[in-house]
Amino acid sequence: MTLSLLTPAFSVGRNEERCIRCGVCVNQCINQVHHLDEDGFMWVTEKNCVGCHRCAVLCPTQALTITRFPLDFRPNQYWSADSLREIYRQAESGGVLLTGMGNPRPYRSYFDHLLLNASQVTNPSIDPLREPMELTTYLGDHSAGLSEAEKPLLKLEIPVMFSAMSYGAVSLNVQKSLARAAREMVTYWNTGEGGLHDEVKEYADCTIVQVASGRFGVSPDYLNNAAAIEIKIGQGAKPGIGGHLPAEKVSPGVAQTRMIPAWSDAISPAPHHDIYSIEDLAQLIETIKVATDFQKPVAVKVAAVHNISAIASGIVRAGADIVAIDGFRGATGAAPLRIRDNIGIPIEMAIAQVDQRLRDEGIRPKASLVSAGGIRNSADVVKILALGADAVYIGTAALVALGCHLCQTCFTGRCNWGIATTDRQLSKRLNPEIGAMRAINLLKAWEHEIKEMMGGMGINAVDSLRGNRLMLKGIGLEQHELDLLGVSPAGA
Amino acid sequence: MAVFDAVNYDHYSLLQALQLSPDEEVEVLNLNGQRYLGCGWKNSKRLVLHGTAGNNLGAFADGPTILLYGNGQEGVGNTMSDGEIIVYGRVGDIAGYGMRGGGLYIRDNAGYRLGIHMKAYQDKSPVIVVGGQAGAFVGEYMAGGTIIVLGLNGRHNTPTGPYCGTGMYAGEIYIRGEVPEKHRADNSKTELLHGEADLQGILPYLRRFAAHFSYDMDYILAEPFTRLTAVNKRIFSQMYAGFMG
Repeated sequence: MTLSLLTPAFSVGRNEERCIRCGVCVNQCINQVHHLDEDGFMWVTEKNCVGCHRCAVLCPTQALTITRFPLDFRPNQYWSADSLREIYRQAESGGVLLTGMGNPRPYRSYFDHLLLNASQVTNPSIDPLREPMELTTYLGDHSAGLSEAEKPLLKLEIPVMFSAMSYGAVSLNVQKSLARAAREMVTYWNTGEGGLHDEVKEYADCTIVQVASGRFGVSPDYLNNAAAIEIKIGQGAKPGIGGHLPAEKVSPGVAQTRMIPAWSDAISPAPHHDIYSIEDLAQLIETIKVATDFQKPVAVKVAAVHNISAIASGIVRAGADIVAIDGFRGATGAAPLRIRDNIGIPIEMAIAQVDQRLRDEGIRPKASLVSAGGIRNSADVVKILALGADAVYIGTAALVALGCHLCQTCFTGRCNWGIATTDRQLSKRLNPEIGAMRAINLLKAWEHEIKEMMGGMGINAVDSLRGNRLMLKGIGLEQHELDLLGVSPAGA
Repeated sequence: MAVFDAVNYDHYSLLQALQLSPDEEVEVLNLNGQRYLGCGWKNSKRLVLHGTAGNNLGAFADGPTILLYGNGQEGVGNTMSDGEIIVYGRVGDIAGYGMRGGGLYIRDNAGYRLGIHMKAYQDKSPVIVVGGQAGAFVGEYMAGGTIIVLGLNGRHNTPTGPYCGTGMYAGEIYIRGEVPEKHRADNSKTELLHGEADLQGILPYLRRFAAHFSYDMDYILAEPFTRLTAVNKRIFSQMYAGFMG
């Protein structure tokens, strides 16, 4: 092995006056950044630091600071430090660059160029602390006529669900935390494509199970032990790329849940080989409905890509009750960096276009629209609902609530926060009771904020917000962007 | 035994009638491409079908025995957990997709991507035996279980199409006869096996096939078999380089 040209990504500073040599940082860092020798000297191996902040957060005397490693390349607007470092890494490894979480590049965020309305004088605003405010949302096929049998629907008391995150990509304690929070808040969590572990089966009434190309753990029991079934076609972090759980993360528990041998790779490539067309998708949807006696809504999740509105129209016509669209900010446990950072389109554009297309074609009531990927706060929720979504999935925000610091190294399986790992010891760092409480707190806070924003607009039911683009104004956007989003500019 | 004439039912009412029938053995006559028969069945019933079964016959099935006197279309035994499907005819593409238990016995030919994503776990080890030929991509992404292609029904160089075992990382594919180099995936190794002594592991499956379709074991074993297995069980392990920022 030749000398690596890569300098550490982070610098670890220790205030020697504050450090009491307690060893917390040593014990907490699975990457072995800190070392305390028998003479009482603290050593750091900075190249191992991923910037997860576990040591700095837990240091009882706040003796630690984590900063970007201070190595400035000669200023160059085109060749950024990252673009050089990526080449060094590839030149020494010959590998496809692998990373985690969502697209961090400075593409325009349309959420940050949309402003919400509020009532003044002519239409009174509503005080959510005094007056009832309805957030109840039903997902599914609403097109049944009065004489027809109603289709199965999912009832949400807050239009925010937890995104698909498989046991394997995340620890079982993450799933337990989110499942408990979903039950408490009357919403849903999603198993991802990794099967359903015995210890979360009790949450069937608030579980959405996923069927992906690898069909891990998919059986009649799996399909029936859920409130809804989601066919995963794609995800925003890696459109056109499938899942690949490396053998290191396939612990005996993961193996049991996926029903594959332990410590073997778990590969689910992008294509379902029984789906080559909309007609084939219709058949898989129907197969699942037959297998579950038409008692459960079936969702189809796709990444937001070019032509998403035509794709979504096909999905609705194929019989999906829910269409989940994952924007290019959507996260993942592992994705090739080039894919994560360069493929897909913004979710704001996708939702606005799909909602409009389904309305134009008169099939909007046949399916609900769920927006995933990049929802950071309650204002993003309100904006995407106004653009046409029925509900949102949150993944990154939920994990941040559980302690994630977005270090983007989930693919190593060595998550110091006990989140993106299947290691037994690391997983214990996330207590599902506390995790559930934190996720519940987040949703409750968002619930209040959503109600306040709605109340300010003079809207007392989320049904009146959905697709209500009059409540949005664009700021700093070009005309064609405003046209695509279906909103007028601020001031107009 | 309850007998249903498919002519008298529309599609869903036929599926429902079969589902609700209390009989342990259910027979259906005059099938004409009806889909999803036995789909999601978790029981030990015996479903006897006459005619042509439509797509996804026995999909997600967990336990039933399905006899099809006729041909099957695409997705026979798709994501099947357990049970047995015996087809006295041919089947279309992706038979046994993601199958993780039970048996699939096909008298004649199978289409493309036979046994794709097949897996095994603990006591569950699925098996597919095809009497005739199979199309391209047999055992693609295979992660466990056994696929046997016999090529008993005609004169041809090899009973399988190209790209046999592409992306497989576990499990075994047995082909009666020799497999030309160009038809094998990069990540596979082959061994030539002769007679009962070499084929101990799959003799029960071959006997079952011979019993179902009245074949003579000596005839089946008269040719050598080629066994395909994966060379590297971690096919993508060298492909990626983690980027730590």
